[in-house]
Amino acid sequence: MDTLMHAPKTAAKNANAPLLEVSNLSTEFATYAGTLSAVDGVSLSLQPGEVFGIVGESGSGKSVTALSIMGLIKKPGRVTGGTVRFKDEANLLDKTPAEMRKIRGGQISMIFQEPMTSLNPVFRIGWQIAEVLQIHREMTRTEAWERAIHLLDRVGIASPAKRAREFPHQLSGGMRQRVMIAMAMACAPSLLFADEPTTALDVTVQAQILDLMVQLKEEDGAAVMLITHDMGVIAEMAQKVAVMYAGVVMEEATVEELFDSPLHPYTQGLLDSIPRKKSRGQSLKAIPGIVPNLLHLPTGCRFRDRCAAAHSACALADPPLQTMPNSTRKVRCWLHHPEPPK
Amino acid sequence: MSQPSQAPAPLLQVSDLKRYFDVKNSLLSGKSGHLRAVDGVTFNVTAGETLGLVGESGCGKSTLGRVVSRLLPATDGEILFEGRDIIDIDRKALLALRADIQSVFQDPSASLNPRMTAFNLIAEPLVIQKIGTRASRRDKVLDLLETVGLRREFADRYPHEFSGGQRQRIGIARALALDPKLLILDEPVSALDVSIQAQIINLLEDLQKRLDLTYLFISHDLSVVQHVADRVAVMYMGQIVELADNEAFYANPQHPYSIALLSALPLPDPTIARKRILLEGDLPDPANLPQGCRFQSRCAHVTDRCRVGPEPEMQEISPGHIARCHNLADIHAPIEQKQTA
Ligand SMILES: Nc1ncnc2c1ncn2[C@@H]1O[C@H](COP(=O)(O)OP(=O)(O)OP(=O)(O)O)[C@@H](O)[C@H]1O
Ligand SMILES: Nc1ncnc2c1ncn2[C@@H]1O[C@H](COP(=O)(O)OP(=O)(O)OP(=O)(O)O)[C@@H](O)[C@H]1O
Ligand code: SF4
Ligand SMILES: [Mg+2]
Ligand SMILES: [Mg+2]
Repeated sequence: MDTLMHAPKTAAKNANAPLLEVSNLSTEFATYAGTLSAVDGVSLSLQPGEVFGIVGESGSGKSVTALSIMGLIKKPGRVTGGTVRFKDEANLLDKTPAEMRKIRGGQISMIFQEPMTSLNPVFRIGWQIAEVLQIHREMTRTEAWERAIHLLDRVGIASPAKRAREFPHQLSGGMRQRVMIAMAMACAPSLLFADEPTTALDVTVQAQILDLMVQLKEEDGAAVMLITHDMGVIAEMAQKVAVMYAGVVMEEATVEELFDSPLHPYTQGLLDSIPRKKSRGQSLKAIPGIVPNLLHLPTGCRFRDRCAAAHSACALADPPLQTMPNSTRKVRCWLHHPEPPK
Repeated sequence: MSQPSQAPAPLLQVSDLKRYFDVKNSLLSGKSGHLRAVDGVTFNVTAGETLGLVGESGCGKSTLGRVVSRLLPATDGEILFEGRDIIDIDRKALLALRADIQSVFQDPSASLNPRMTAFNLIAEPLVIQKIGTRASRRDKVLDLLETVGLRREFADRYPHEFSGGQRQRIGIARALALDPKLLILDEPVSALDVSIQAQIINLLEDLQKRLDLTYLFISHDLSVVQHVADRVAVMYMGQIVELADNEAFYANPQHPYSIALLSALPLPDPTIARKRILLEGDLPDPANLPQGCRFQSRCAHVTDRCRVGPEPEMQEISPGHIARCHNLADIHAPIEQKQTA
């Protein structure tokens, strides 16, 4: 484990075999109005120990991407294509539900925005953590309970032995999220999905939780897929970033590249929309219009109707996610494509 | 809507305002007590300005906004609007006041009746106040739709047929129907995506200029407040702990809580390596506040004086910049002085 400890901003540079490689993942939902592609051919790869951020506005497909990878899509949803390579596993999408349950909570674990919905209100929090250990680590009840108290202590909960006996509603929002993290880290996973882990929290509590995540990640060497709509959180936490819009990745880059020189007009628009010190006294450069209905995407590029740089090629065909020359950056925009349609 | 432009007398003057809620303290003693949601708040708002009100969940921002707009009665204290008391007023005066002070809330879908069309939602305040004829109201509502950037054809749609940002535009149009002077904006963009948030912030700033509006802008987002506010007030556990001009506040925050809040704010710039000040300790029980400073349980600079009381009073740091802390001089002393002390 010790060899996996990295300083946060250098992990991405040790480019060895990816821990997770998602190719062409697609997930649909059948609705009364028609079938919509919530995730439409998403490809991503994560290195061990890396924090990979997914940003995008509401409905862009961030959560569905994560849920699809973890095998948690429920009807009326369906993963319709793609592969998910994880460690030595050729494709997680071929696993049975029972096999996936074993992987989740063990090698892959997750934390969500609202811990209250993932904690069981009628069980003491200590037992909920202990249960994970009993299932995945074959510990006895007593061992697991002791270990749960240790984990509560590790995530910064004061008087852990006393708190372990409490029920979720007796804890503050920040403490509940710490419990979720304790549970997620219980089996030292190599991959942690964190879907808006601090969105419901106050900024001072958010700072505590983000710090805790960085600390645990560095101690255990886990890779984190961090899903958020907050560009500030991404800038502080991630090494690599994918920007999603209407079910696809629009741009993928290192965090420095993305914030320093965003290539996709949507990324530029998102960054320009953020109020900052220097925007005071001026109007913000808002992106006009609203996110399209997934059942009625514009033809051609799906960002076309809101894009300040839209031109004739954009109506002709949907641009592919293109790797930039001499770089690992990827962009889905005809402006950056060598052969746009005419 | 013409206002005297010179000598900006405060439009709103709030003095030692209190709002307590009764709570049953059954867990501890079975006795009931008070939750001091707003506990001795004093500030002015000048016509045409935006006062930003920030602070964490439960510190009393919304309660303060609701008391100021007279949606909730005050427990104690004074509120003057255009120099006149608005706490002890009769129904008729209250109805008139409703026209002058309007509110916009966070969740546009929760604050709009789903069974009413956009037209009726925006017209409702005019109907309640019996203003205008049907025809004149119709013109006014259609104009308001345009004012907030919606198409006139949208008048007959229901809230669920609009996006979140569009619903917030309807909420704003409704608040503007009576030509108010002061808008209480309670987290008006917090539920919106950043691209839509930018659209609504631009709209609010544009309306303020065009219609001479004054804003009390409540938000937990310090970046949004930095963009919109002329002055900033920070609340903690029912009190204002710091109040300053925008530049002074963001460049030179004084109260330990303000400093921690600003250091916790994630900035959209990966090249800035910052030292976060992590607040330790828990929030005190608002129904059972400690003796002394309310911030003592989480403060890095706490001294005995903070624990035994009395509570710190507001201190002036520079004209217009005040903070409520016993140890300002020590916290902000130059480093050399600190070491020799
Ligand atoms: N159970 C479902 N039935 C139908 N559509 C769904 C379902 N779950 C998700 N979707 C659709 O899939 C799309 C992507 O949703 P997803 O939850 O991944 O968005 P997100 O990027 O996580 O957004 P947010 O920031 O709001 O969490 C949305 O358009 C959503 O409406
Ligand atoms: N009607 C009520 N009865 C009892 N307590 C109340 C009532 N309304 C608010 N409170 C309490 O008053 C305190 C301040 O609440 P308020 O809603 O004003 O906070 P806030 O700063 O607006 O928080 P948020 O950022 O979460 O909106 C909280 O402790 C809250 O629980
Ligand atoms: S008065 Fe004391 S406890 Fe309160 S903020 Fe200042 S230093 Fe901290
Ligand atoms: Mg989501
Ligand atoms: Mg509130």
